[in-house]
Amino acid sequence: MVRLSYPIEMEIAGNTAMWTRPDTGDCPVSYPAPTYSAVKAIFESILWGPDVEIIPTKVELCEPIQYHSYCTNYGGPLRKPTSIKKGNNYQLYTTVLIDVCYRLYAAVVPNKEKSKLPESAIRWDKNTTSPGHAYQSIFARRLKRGQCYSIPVLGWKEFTPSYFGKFRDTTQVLSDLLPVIIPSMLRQVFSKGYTPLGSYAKKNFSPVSYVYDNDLVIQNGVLEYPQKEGESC
Amino acid sequence: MSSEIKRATGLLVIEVVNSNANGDPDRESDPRQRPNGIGEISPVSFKRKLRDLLEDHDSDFFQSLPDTYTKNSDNYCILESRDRELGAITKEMAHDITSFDQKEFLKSTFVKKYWDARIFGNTFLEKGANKNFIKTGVVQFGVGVSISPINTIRHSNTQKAPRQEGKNAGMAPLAFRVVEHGVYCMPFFVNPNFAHKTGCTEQDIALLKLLIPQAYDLNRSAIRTDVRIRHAWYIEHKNALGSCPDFMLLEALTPKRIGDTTIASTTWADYEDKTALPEELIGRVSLATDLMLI
Repeated sequence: MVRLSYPIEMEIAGNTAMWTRPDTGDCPVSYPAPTYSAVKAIFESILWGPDVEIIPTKVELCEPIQYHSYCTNYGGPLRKPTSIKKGNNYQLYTTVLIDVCYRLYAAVVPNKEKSKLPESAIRWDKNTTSPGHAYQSIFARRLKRGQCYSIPVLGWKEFTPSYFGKFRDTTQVLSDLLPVIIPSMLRQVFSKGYTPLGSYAKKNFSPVSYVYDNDLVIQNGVLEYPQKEGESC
Repeated sequence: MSSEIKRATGLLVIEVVNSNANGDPDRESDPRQRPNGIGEISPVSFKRKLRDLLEDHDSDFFQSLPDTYTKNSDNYCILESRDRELGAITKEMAHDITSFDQKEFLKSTFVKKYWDARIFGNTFLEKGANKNFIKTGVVQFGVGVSISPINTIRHSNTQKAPRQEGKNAGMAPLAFRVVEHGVYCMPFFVNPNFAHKTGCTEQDIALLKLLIPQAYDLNRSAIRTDVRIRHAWYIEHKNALGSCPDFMLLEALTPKRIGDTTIASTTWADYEDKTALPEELIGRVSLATDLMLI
């Protein structure tokens, strides 16, 4: 079966960003560019529906890569009761990116896993001539109006954007950037996709399924995400 | 209740005068600064000040709040508290933390009790607990950055109390580290779409609006004597998805640096203040107020 795909694109900028490298543990360090799942989530924060899949295709870097140390007091989860009683918040040392700007590209394709969709999505699917096309149009309208379901963020919730929307004329892709090699990049943690709420609650946890991309290169300021089998776009 | 919350875009314009608005633990508590000289205030730091304001229910400030808060003070406790007990809080979340039920969660003591968990979300998770208890907040504060680079000045502190045996006075070399002058802009966002998950109500947001203007005034310290919130813009959209791009609102209300933008400012007069939204944007939102003037 041929699955038609519909391209979508947007620009996002901000003063701080964090695309966490999982191998950096307690002192997280950012990848030089957003991960596949981060780009997917940015698109989904504008508009998401179980009826379609958003498949990031590439990102263009529009500001130089700059690292910055960012340390905060952290009272995170899973601490021992004794350390909490002593007031031992610990400090989280991180290495973030500053003054970032990206042009993001993705393709929208209809979700092939119709059997897992909730009833409301199936109803919408039946009444919509082309879910991918509908998504593309609604997405473009929302982007133009500055609308979103949740504020798109640059990795962490506190790294809010200074701009998100259509491509700006003033933005330039860093086409003279020297190649940046990324030996391994976490692609997705939840690669199994959408799980309806009913079964989600029963299973307690959504299925974790790590997928990595290897030997990626940011070439002329562009990082292309490898397309996996079944992601026809 | 949650449907009464409107999506909002906010902007804090913070003037720092001979104070350290937010020290960097990675640099011996120097004021936070980026390699290009721009100053920084972390959202964690600002939210801490709001939590500290609300936590002391015996304070004159808390007692001066409207009756709806003072008469129900048990509903306005702080989760991110130094003396919190993990076990006790876990019991407040659910009878059985291995499974999660959204409806039951909204009725729980946890949701009723902790204002900061309802408004900022929470990452509280006991071992073995269902991850659904972790919630995204309704209110997001962003990193505050200065408009121009900042100058940091350092002095040594002296004190009468000796720090070493045999000495009759103590010294703290270069311990007093402050920003000479800087104007910072910190954006924040209110997103009603998560309110039904955290149990956040309109009253919770109203309380946030009462706390913000006092965040620095009622939290002064020796190193933070003069931090002024010049404006606390709060702009409500016409619908839950938003009726005007955030960046247009933020750009329109950010003060403009007069003169050389690459050197540190010395007074508020070095900036062209923005005192209202431009006409063309007012029509796109339902309400634009400065919380400092209410």
